[in-house]
Amino acid sequence: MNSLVKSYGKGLTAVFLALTAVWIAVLIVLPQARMIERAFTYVDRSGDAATLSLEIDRAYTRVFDIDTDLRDLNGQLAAGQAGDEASSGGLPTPSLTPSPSLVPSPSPVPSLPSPSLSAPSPATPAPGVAPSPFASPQETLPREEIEARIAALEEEKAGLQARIAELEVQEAELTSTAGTSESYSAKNFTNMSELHFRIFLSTIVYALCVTLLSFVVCYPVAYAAATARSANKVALMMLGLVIPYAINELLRIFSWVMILEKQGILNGVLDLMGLIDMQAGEGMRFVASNGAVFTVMVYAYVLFMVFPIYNTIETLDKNQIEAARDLGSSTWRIHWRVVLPHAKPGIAVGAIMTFMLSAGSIAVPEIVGRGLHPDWFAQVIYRRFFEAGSWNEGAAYSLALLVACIMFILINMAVFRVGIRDIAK
Amino acid sequence: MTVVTAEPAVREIAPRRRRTRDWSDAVLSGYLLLFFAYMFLPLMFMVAAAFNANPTPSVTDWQGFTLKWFEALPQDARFVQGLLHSLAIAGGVIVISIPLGLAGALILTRLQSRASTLLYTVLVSPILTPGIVLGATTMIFWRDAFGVEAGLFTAAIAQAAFIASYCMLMFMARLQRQDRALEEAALDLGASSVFVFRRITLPFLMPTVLTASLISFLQSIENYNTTFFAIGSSWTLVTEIGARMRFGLSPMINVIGVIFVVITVVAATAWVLAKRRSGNG
Amino acid sequence: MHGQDVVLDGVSMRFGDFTAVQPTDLTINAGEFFSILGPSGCGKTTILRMISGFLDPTAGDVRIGGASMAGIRPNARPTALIFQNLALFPLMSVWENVAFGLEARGVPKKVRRERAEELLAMVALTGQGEKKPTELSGGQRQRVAIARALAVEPAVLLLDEPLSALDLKLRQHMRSELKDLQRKTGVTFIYITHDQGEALTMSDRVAVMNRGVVEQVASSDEIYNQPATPFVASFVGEQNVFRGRLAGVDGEVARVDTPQGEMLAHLRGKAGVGDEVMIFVRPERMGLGANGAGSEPRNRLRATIERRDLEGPFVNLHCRAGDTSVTVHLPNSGDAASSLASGETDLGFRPTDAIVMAVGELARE
Repeated sequence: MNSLVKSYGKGLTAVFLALTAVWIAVLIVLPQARMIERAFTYVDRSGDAATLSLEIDRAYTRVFDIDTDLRDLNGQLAAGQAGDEASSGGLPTPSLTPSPSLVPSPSPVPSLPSPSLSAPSPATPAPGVAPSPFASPQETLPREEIEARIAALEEEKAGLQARIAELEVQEAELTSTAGTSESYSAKNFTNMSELHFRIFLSTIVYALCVTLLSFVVCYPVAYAAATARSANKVALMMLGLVIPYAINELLRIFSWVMILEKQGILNGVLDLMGLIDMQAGEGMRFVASNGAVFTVMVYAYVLFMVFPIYNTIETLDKNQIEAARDLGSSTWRIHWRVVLPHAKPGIAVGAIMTFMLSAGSIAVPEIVGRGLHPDWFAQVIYRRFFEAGSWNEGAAYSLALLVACIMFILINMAVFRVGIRDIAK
Repeated sequence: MTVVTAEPAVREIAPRRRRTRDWSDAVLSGYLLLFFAYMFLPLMFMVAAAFNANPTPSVTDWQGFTLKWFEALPQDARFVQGLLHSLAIAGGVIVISIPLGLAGALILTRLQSRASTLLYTVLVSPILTPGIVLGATTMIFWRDAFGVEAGLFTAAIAQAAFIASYCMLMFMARLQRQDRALEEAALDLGASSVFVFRRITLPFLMPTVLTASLISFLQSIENYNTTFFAIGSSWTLVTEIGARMRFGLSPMINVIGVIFVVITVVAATAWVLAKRRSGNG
Repeated sequence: MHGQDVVLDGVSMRFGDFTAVQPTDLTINAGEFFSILGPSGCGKTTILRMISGFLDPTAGDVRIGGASMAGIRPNARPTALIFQNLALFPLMSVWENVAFGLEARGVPKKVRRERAEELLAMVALTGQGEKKPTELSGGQRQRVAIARALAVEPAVLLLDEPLSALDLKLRQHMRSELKDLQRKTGVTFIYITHDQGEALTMSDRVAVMNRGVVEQVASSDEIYNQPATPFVASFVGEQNVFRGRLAGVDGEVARVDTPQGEMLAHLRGKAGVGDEVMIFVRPERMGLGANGAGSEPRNRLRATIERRDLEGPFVNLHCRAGDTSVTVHLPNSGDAASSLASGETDLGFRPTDAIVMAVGELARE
């Protein structure tokens, strides 16, 4: 403290300390503490209420499925009409789709912690609910049939919505009469369903896979960029790395979805090669597969691995590599004994960033997975908060994710023998 | 005799080593080509599809060149509004992050105490925290503590929580290169601490204030995970993109992609050129 | 500008277990050019930083012009410091640098500008005010630093090896400029250096420091001719050192038994009969045999000439007497003695040119 007053004088030191204190308190520690408190606060809802909310959730899910089907069917209808009425070539923005719930109000309405009143966001089906069998009609149907189907679906939807309204009234009554009792306990964790826990574990495994894959993919690139001899080559490679890095994560994902879509470029290429016939509705659903999620995730986060490793290899004395080569070491050996040990801090940083980003990624599984792929934990957290409306469970799940990340960081620090100051650079 | 027989053996080893080296260099070059294709091809498809009249973004099913998606973008109220929201949040993030990061860096570079490592750990921890956790904690805290509903404000706060840490690291890197004697000289000449800070330390840090602001701005505009959780019923350009992508693809997103790519390429090229010029001169 | 005196009263400085400066009493007179000379790490910079206020003494008191400086920060002390690397503000122009102290005191810009020009004229930098410090040469930067320090009209100017970055020629030139400036301004100069040439040529008085202790404070002549300790004797200038045992004392003259025979020399400090002692003789005070150095040398020794170096006005003979190496500087008179290059010879010196002291630490070469 004395050293600070010596450097900045009393007044400025007080200002700096106050700012830092506010930062720590308001932006870091207190929010974290509140989340932990919430995580350990169990709200006891009676069994009836739980059943009710489950039923409501189910109903919403079904409504969503119906909406999806309706959109597909209407799309086919519109495509059919496009031939007759060329002028009606409207923009395929979601706002033109028929269902009101599909009007882009993507962001959740997290204003209400009680599940009864929160409008469900038009997201993918709730975890554990099998994908709707109607999700993707493969065959092109005659117009009348489509219209008949739309009518049937609209009818079912109307019924469901009435049922939802009824259930929600019941639920509101239940919660107001029975009330909810709050108590500190670890139940938010212990009550985690087996499914959620499995998702949690598999998310960690997936994130580890993505981390490992990213390392394998980017190590040669980092090495090549760091050891490139001509200044032009270095500049070119840096540009090649910086440009995709600077382009928004979602757009990077978007570009891949375009490729992997059922109507996407990959299937288009297969079609051109005559392997499939897209006109006939053939085509592989690349999205929503594990491979697709992994490919896109590595694509989205690989650069967080490249730069830290590049930075450490760059500081390596290149003569060491030359010397090792001169002594007859194999390429493999040079990397194992010279380059990799030197790059350890960079690998640790890259691994931590990639793991953290992929374990906490909601964009990739949500958008590439389309809810058809098995969930990732971030999606579960999202649903706890905004669909189940249980903030305390959401907080508990978030905490679990945070702890997993902290564990990973600590293990990395131990394995790579780096300190916290090496990591955050 | 021994010398004569030894010589060919030596000669034989050297070319073989060079050959393996050429071979591994070739493999590396080939791999790099693949890697950069992996990086850039999707972006190129994205750019190309923005000019395709096909309402499903595609390059294989080409239905004619068009600029209609570009014309449509400014007429989309939600995108325009989202952009304004993004800019507002980014402004707020800069205003919060720069002073906080600066204060933290100034304290950490001069604090001679065991507590400094702990303080450092706390201050960089947001960088190592998953974005959704930051967003969720901010949303919970502000609602529970102050009754502030999630919205643009909480989104800015949640982003600032980790962007301030990045700013701090940048300021620390700069401060480590500062010559302490300059501050001492100023003090010795009778300047007060505040005067030294205003006239010596701040001007020295000014370039970093600019770059840190720029990076904060970019980070804020680009952020999805944290914002997604903290923004409530409001939206930014990026969360809007995310929302629409869940309902299928629209060439309008390609148009936004084109704009991002153009800005990025121009900025990155300028940056590399500037760096090389300063490196040479 | 008026110089003020600086008094160190029992000042000491400890960093953890390491004592940088032992308890020291030192008085530097007003308007004096005072040097603190010592090898690196001897504590001289620590003393300077305690006077300027960047370090608080562990014990004792620093007084400037009679006023205690305890608790007074550097910006409130009547001192100005010239840093080893000069610490010119790189983002400001030369005149802004010079006027910085005035700016900090709220002097209006017009006055500042005028004052800066005056000071720049004083250090012969007229018309360079608009440049940036990096556009100046080393010597010019040096002068800007001095002008900047003098602008605040300090009573005491502290200089921390300011010439060490300059080349030899410029260094010698700046010595006389600094001395002139000191005389002109009457400011107390406290000059820190490890270069004895700088200290001896410029200073009114010199303090020689070693391991946190001020070993001697005296005029340049006294430091050179009557060193108080073996360290001062060996650190300042060259010395021949003979080791022996004190055999007897007769007034100021001591008799010493050495491997080279009995020698007579002046006793300095305390030593008892039978103690291990050292005899110090400057190379230029030694002569060859009976012909050497003017009057009759009383101390004689046999030595073998190992090497002869011609240094223009001097001839340096490197000899060996037993296991002691002896250097003799002879005036280059052109006679036979000064062209001697090998063989055995007699060396001699007067007892008045030799000093005997109890064994102590010598400066490392």
